[in-house]
Amino acid sequence: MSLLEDRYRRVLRLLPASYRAEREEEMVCAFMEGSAGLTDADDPRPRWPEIASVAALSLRVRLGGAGAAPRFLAWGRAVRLAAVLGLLFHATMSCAWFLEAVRGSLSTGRPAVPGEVWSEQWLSGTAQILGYLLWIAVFGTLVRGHPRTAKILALLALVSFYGPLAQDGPGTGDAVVYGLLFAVPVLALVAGFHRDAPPPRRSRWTAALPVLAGVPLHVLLSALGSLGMSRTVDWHLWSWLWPWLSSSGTACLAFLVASAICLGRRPRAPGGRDPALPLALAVLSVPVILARVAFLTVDAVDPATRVMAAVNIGQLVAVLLCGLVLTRVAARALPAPPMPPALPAQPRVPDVPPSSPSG
Amino acid sequence: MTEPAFLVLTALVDAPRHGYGIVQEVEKLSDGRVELKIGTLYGVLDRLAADELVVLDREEAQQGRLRRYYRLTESGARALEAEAARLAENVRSARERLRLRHAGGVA
Repeated sequence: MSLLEDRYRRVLRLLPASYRAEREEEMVCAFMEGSAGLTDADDPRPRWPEIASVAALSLRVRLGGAGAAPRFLAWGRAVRLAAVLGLLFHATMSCAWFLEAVRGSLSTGRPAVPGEVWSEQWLSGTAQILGYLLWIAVFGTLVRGHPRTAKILALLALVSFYGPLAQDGPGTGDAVVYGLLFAVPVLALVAGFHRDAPPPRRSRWTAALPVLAGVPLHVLLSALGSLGMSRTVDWHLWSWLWPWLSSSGTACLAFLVASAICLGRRPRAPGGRDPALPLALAVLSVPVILARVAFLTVDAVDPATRVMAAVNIGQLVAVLLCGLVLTRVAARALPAPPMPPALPAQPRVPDVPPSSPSG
Repeated sequence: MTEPAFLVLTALVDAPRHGYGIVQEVEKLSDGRVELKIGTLYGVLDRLAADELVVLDREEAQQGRLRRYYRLTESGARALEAEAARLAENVRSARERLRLRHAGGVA
């Protein structure tokens, strides 16, 4: 075996074993025919575009659409569901924050974006407002069956989030970890909704969910905010409540509620062994945990801060436990990996001369 | 239908071809513009085979390596014809509008 073939076969290990058993030999044949003339002395390697094409193929096979092996189909559905749920959360929160920006502007008579036009403060505020609208648009376009548009909008929304952070330079590690809360659903969107995946086609009502949920959420958060600003504040109560009201705290709450519903209805559900939802939630538990870790406080000095730190740790433990239980439930429900053919594919006819017709 | 899928189907119109044969033919059909990577080619073939637009024709050994030849099915030929007609109509519309523009009929 030549050095190049050996290296290409290593690249092909990115593909699932069952797919390799079916395709590896002909892929190697096609690749090597296209690389004729190279010898080991040239220290040849598969070029990056070739490696990228195999990586993309691997992703499409592993996160399969209709017609894929049951295990890959389950993974594909789970990743796509993780994208939809994660983006629904961001769109809902964005709707609530956008309404807050509008309400603040209307009640104070000041522009929603502070600072002089084109100043750093103005640019950052504009990016934030634009980001809110983008997240809402991402969810809407995705569930209405336009995943390609959703991907472009999602990448723009991520830029609007990470752009200001990149300008801040070092010391933004926590913010970057917190940003995974946004990045993971976008990654799931990009990876899961590939060409072979069926685009979701939901009703306009589903697309409007962020607004339908975001308006009452905004009312609730505004009411809580007003209570928090009152002269007589019950710090004992607020130290318990406050850790649930930030974006990551709300994500934590939403995750725990979704997990409780998922685990609670599984024994009764007719398709109770469908691994997609528990697997999707298990995937989403990772950014939720990391986002809460970014807010962990170790130097709490007063009783209120100590309570908040304790609630934060409690949230982390709860999400971690839920994530582990969901992973176990999903692992038990996942179909077995597809079995490679009993014998590797072998040519059925004898060798033909190199000058074969057609091709 | 994506451009690589269209070109792969076109490459299989006159004869069954194996993987590298398809890559070569697609490059020729597109005047060197489309260079299919092997991972991309097999992603396209998987999709076309799942839609029953191409099927495995035969297998051969070529200097100890496996060559699988794929051929266009009847439904593949119909799908290609429909796509070609659609593209031709688009080209016709574009040419017509450009002709009018050059003639000063459309600003």
